[in-house]
Amino acid sequence: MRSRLSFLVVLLVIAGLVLAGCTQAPAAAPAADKGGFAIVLTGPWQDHSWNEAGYLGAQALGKKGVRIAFSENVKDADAARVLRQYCDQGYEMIVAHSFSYQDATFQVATECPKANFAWAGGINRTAKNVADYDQPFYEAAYPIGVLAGKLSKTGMLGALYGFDIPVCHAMGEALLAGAKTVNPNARLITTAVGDWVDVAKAKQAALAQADAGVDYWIECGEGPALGAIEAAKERGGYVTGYVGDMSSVGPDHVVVSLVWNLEPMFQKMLDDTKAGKFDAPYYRFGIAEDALQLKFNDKLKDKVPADVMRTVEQTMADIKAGKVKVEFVPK
Amino acid sequence: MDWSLILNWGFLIALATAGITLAVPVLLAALGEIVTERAGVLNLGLDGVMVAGGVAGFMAAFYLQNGPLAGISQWLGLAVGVLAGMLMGLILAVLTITLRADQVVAGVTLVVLGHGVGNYLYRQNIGTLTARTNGLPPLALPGLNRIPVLGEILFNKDGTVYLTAFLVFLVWFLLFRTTWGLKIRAVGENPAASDTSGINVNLTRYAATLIGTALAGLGGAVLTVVQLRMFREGIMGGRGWIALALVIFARWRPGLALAGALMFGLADAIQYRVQALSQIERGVGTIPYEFLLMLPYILTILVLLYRAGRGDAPEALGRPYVKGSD
Repeated sequence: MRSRLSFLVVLLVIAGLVLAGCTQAPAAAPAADKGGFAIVLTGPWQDHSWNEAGYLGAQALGKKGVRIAFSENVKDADAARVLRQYCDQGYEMIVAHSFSYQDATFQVATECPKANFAWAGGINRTAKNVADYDQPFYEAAYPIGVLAGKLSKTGMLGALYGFDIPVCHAMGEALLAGAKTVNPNARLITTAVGDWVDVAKAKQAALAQADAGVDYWIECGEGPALGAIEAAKERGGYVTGYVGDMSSVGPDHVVVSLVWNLEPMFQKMLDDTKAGKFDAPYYRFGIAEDALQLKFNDKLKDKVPADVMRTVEQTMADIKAGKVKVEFVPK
Repeated sequence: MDWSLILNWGFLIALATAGITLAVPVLLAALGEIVTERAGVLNLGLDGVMVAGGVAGFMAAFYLQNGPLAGISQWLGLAVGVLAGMLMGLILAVLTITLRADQVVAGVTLVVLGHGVGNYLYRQNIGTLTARTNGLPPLALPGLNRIPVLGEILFNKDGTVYLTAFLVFLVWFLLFRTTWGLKIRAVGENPAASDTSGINVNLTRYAATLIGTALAGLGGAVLTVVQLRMFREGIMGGRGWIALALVIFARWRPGLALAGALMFGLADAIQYRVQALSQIERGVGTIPYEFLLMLPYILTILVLLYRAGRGDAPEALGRPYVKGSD
């Protein structure tokens, strides 16, 4: 009786774990079995956002013939194991694509000096074989602010953060700064939802902002982005896609998406590794490096007047050329 | 901050609307858990049951809404959510009642199973973030919805809100006004004595577990089919765990669960609104948002402190019943 029971329980746990994790088996591309690029993600890759950016960056390297691998849905507690596994499999550049992988990355990096690692810190914490990479989304928030200043009827802009951390805070402030160049009366309302993925709470927070007059949103976090889109469907207004093309998620409301193109940075990491120049680097890839792009929603393009579109594109070009410097306001 | 922004009817209506919306899924799960725990079965797997209900309900509503059953597809989706919840309940019941497994272990198993199977099924069958159900339109109750303020808050909701209110009453009636409810409570307090007086302990516990998980499945389905009209991994946001806390908070009483769920919902709603509104005038928040975010949890701790040490819990909660062992 007892043994049959434990067998059943164990079977169920295994079934759950296997199904939950069945997508995280490293999918290695055929190529050389040494070297290559691996990335570890916190959620599913098709999130139209943060994880998709990492996945697409790795895939772009794969198309160039680099041996690549990725793992999805890796919990923080499992990160060290997965990183170690990639080290054992001989990958030379291993990216831990989350701030929360910090401890695991530094721990495995000391155990595995032959590989190079990178983590999404954005705080310039590095080690001999650990890179940190910045997420200067605020740079792109500035030209989006120019658009928002023109599109918002109330002049009230909303910023919805998972938490009010520097990366997020700077986005809202840059949005406001950009908007003020075309509408001096523009104002910003910020809300921290207190959760990165809870769509239900984020939607209520966005509705509260709509009640305060907000009709243009920028978001920091995937939950906040989906919540703002759902709120806009109820109340009207425009939403910014967060770190990936979200046009298809909110076809009538996502007017522009802030797209994170990680290919140039991942390529640089790999080049530095191969050239033996990798020494505690801090990668900072922004608009100038083509890592941040704006993707307009084709369906809503006619809602953006031609002169506004030109101003936004000019602002992007000015930032790229260094003529406009977007201020980083962390708090 | 300018208090006139808050002390007006428009604000209060919006606040109550948001609070009720946030309360419904958690309340349904908590109601179910009250029935289950009253019979002495601890279902820690509530979060997994909600995910199972949420994903099954969403997929059913999504696939049916373009077919011949389009008119009732959303309600059918909710019904499938209920069935999925009961299926999870059946697994738990077999493990903990028939096989007398440890209820804590079995419950945690159910969480892992629900999340694993749920996410797997969604990803295999739909997988995108763009799929949406049609949801349910608001159903104004004629006459009642004309009452100023109250009508707008309470009587212009989608059907699931009325259903939830009715279920609060029904669960209370079942537990405290029927022989059946008496049997459930007796089994939860003293299964041996109940057995002696001719109550089928295992059958009663099976029924209570299935009723409980049916309601939890419904709660998950309401969130995905009606409220957000989407499914993605992590969408349940740990609501099953909140519901478990709510049961203790409510001292295993449906009426108090209603009050508690509304309080949690309102606390969340109010903090988002104060965050937003406090910035209209000065452009900066006057109350640190971290303080507002911790409001619901402070409330929980206060209530738990107030009830500390009192024997509210069913006496046999969490203990498998073995005939003749007591």
